[in-house]
Amino acid sequence: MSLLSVEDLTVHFHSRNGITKAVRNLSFVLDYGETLAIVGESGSGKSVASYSLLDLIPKPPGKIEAGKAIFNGSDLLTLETLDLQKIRGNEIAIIFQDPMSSLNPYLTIGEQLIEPIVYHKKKSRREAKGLALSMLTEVGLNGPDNKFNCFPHELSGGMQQRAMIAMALITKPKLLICDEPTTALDVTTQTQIIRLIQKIQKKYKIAVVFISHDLGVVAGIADKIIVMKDGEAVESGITNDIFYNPKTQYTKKLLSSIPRGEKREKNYTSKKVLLEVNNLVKYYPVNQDTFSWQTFKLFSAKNTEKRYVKAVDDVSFDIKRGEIFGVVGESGCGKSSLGKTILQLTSLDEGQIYFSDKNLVNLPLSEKISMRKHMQMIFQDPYSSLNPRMTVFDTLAEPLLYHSLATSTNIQKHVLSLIDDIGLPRISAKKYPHEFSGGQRQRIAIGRAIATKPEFIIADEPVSALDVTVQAQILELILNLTEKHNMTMMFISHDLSVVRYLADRIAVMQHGKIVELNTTSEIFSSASEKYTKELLGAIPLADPKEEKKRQNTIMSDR
Amino acid sequence: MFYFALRRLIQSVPVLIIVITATFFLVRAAPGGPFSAEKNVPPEVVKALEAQYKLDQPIWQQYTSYINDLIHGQFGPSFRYPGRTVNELIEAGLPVTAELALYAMLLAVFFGVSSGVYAGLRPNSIHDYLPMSLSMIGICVPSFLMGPLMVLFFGIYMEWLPISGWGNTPGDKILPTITLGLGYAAFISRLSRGGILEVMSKDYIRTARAKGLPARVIVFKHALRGGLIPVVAFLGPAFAGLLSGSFVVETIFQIPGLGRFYVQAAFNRDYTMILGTTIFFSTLIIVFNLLSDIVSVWLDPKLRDQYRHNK
Amino acid sequence: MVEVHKYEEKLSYKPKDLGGSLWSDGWIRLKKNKLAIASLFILGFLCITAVLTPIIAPYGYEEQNLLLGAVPPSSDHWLGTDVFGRDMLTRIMYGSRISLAVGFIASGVALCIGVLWGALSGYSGGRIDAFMMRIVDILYALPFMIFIILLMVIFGRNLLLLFLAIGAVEWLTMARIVRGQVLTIKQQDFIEAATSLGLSHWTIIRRHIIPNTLSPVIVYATLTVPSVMLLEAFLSFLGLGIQPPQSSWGLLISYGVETMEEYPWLIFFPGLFLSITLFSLNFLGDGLRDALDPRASKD
Repeated sequence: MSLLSVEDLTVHFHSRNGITKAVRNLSFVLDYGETLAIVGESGSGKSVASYSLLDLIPKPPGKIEAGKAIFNGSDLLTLETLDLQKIRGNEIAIIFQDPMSSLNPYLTIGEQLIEPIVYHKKKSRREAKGLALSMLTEVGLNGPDNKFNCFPHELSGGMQQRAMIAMALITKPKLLICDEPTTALDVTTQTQIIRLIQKIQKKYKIAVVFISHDLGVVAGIADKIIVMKDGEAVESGITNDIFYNPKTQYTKKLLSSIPRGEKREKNYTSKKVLLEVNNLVKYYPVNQDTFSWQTFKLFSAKNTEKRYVKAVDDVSFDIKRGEIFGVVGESGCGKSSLGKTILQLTSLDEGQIYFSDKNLVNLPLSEKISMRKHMQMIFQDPYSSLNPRMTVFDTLAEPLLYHSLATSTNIQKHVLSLIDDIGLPRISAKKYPHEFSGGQRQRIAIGRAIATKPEFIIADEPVSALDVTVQAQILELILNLTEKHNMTMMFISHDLSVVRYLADRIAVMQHGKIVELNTTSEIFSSASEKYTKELLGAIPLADPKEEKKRQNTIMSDR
Repeated sequence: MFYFALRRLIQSVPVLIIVITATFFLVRAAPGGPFSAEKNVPPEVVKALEAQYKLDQPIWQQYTSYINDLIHGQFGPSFRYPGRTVNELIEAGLPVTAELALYAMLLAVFFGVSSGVYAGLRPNSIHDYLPMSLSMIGICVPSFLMGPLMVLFFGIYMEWLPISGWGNTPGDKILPTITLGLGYAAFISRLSRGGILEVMSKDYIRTARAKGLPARVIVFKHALRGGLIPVVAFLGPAFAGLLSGSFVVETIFQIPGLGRFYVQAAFNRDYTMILGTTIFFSTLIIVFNLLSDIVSVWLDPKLRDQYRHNK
Repeated sequence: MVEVHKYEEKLSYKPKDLGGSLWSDGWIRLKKNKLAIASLFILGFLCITAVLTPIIAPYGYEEQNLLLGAVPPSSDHWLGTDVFGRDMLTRIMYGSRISLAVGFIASGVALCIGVLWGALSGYSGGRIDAFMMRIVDILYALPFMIFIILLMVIFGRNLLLLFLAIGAVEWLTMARIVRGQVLTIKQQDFIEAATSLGLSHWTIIRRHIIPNTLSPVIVYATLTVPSVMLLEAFLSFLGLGIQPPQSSWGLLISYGVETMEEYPWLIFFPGLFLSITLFSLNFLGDGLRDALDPRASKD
């Protein structure tokens, strides 16, 4: 008999704008110890489906319209609340995407950890504490006594997620649901957490439902995969089938959206240097708003007099005309600060920046303003990069009018052709940002950036916040536009596979320094630095056989 | 945490100094007062004043000697009641007002928090609309209206409760307490409701539910801590409001408290009394705000740490 | 499918837009709130009546009728008369002029000072911001009520002084709110985008920052008026606010208290009008808040 059997699960949301069918007729079966991955983009219903098993969706407006979920003989969807409570956190546990917000900031880790034991297993607090301590060690948190008394904000993201895992597993549940547990983490941490889940799963024979938007991530861990779109299961099957033999259009589209392989051929670039950066240093004073794990480490490591963090620490490189220069690193490495400093959005503390042989820092004001025409930026978050009170037309017209590249007579023509360039219908001009999706907003942001036909564009994680299929479209758009207008680009990302697809050369950053700088092919074939190799090793391969191979090497390395 | 408290304490000192100085000079500037040229003042008082305030000395010396007196707890003689000092009047009135304020605060917090949390846990239902509508009444009908109306109804028509005095007849503390505390109960009720509503939508409450914790644990252990922080932060200003509210309540119910003395002093232009009580009240308010600030920070572990590292 | 996105992405609500939706959208939402619209009408009616009072009041302001004395509501005097035989309806109408005027004008003063201070402080950031906010903090700690009373006592009950004193108290919270909003907006990427376009500070403030701060300012301004009116009524009640021959609702209530046993209508009607006005302002303010940023939790 299987552990969990879901039949025709249907969940609708009733709002004043109508009914949203979040999950439609979802069915699947999960056996003891198996791993099922549910993959889909935002709006696919993957999270809603899992949450409704445990009655965690907000009840108005949500409603479970139909379906059965047989777990251990009883139907989860029709259980009384008290009975369901006995199962939650006890036999079925859940870990969430953002550990920082999913842990109660006012209670210690230990306090939150012992709760499931105390309430489900009816043990005393002291016994529970003992169990908790051993669990903390098992998930890889060293110094469990110390961690037990910590508050969530004192731990890094990776540690918080480990604590959440400990909290979920402390009652030895039969089923663990993981809702995008690694999306908010760095890529190297991501690998560690996934390995941890696998290890524990094997040890305690736990079935896992792993929800993700990223097919690549689940290649190495899933036995079975369900691909969801708009609430429906579009395709399901065993992992190898899905990857090597996809049957539906959508699955194929998902697979092809994962950037793989080298940069496409491009007729190349002059050797002339457009941007030269010498010994750039940027300090950030540590004040109350920037209290983070990184700065905490810095504090405790060095003397506490140091009130500054070197976000950019003695960085030098140059970018040639026409090339796409990739900057890669994990969060906190300084890549965004680097971009902002080059664009003079914040002042630099030491070093020089030369653009077209002109020293950017010493320029007189009028020249500085006109220099702005030539350097633009595309930001990461499509939801905050557009002024919500300005129409698309206004947003796109502003740069043109301000820099006198258009007059009030021909501005309409210019803006409309810009809208065509970015692939949106002309009627968009009258609309406001909130009427568009993330991907469309990003197009508008790109339109604004290229409006003045700049020579140089810095793209700061332009697709990280987007769905996979949309990512591919936007990347294509960026590539086409840079070619068409002969632009030079600095592409910042934490995602090596994306950068590999676009960049001619790549700089790898860590803790504010450039650790390695080389052409794309060199980096991927023969990286020399340890950190680079670590990063490369952490990239999820969207290829189950390769993943298994990699895992075996790691196991044998131990 | 200790250093934070210390720092805040030190920051309060300039405020206090400003208050004292401003009051001192304002009172000096008052036309028709004892410190101006007019002398329609009984001779004994003039003598007492001149002795106390050394009016023939340059103003700066008067200021410093006043500060000196303050430090020793001397507020000076009353202007209107010859032979009595401000100190005496404060000592007489303070316990009464303190008791009134305390009861009103307890009422406000108890009823406010419980009704607000109750409403917040069942949003957009009758359990929500009813308390919130009632609380709107509490906010929009001010104490100087509510008080007399209650006196009219409970005291005069129904004759259930006494309507004046404090501690003289049994039950005479009920109406004044309710009058003073009701408005604050209403506001705290809304604040609690908002706080709970916001907390319940947080991710960590979802985690608590996912762990299968019983409802009362989720509410009392997980939700309340974060949800009531706005209420704690409000307690400081609430105290200040209660003190000023006492002016009205004591006037309506003829209660011999400090508030009423203050209002009468204001009417009678009893300048020394005004000077003294203003400073006294202000000090109390500043201290209470300080406590409220410190407790708010202490309740939030993130802020606690921040201040520990950033002395 | 933006709705689905909203539910799928985060099952607990996290607003992605800033400052809510736009004016027409907000207006449509407001219209659905019956209570708020009713409040709007009531307030409109009261304001118009207040302005037209000298023309439409049934009796003269000072018109006494000592023979009549205080009588309960009748067809001649809809709201009764006071001990001097003065028509209550007239007195309440004249009182509304003062109460509403103080409410709106003092709020206006507080608004102007607060918005400018907060916006400047928030946009400047750094030392200037710290300094300006430190001043706000210090002033905030001062027990203003006591100071106002002090001022009223010392300098007499001057209407202008009253406006200024009350305005001086309320601007502090407005400044804090505006500064908070400006700080949030400053962190949005579109401000950086504007900077990277080379726009001047003033242009950025004008085109990008101010339009996005308007919603909380409007909401808070609407909620400041009742609190100001309450303050004025409170002072007048204690005898420390408006002086006769002018009157406000607060003053009328205090007169009513004196004779409330025999002539309850003298306290009931002014109280009723004051309460209704406060209710309307509060409901309107709440309604505006929901309309302009529907995702804010109530209160």
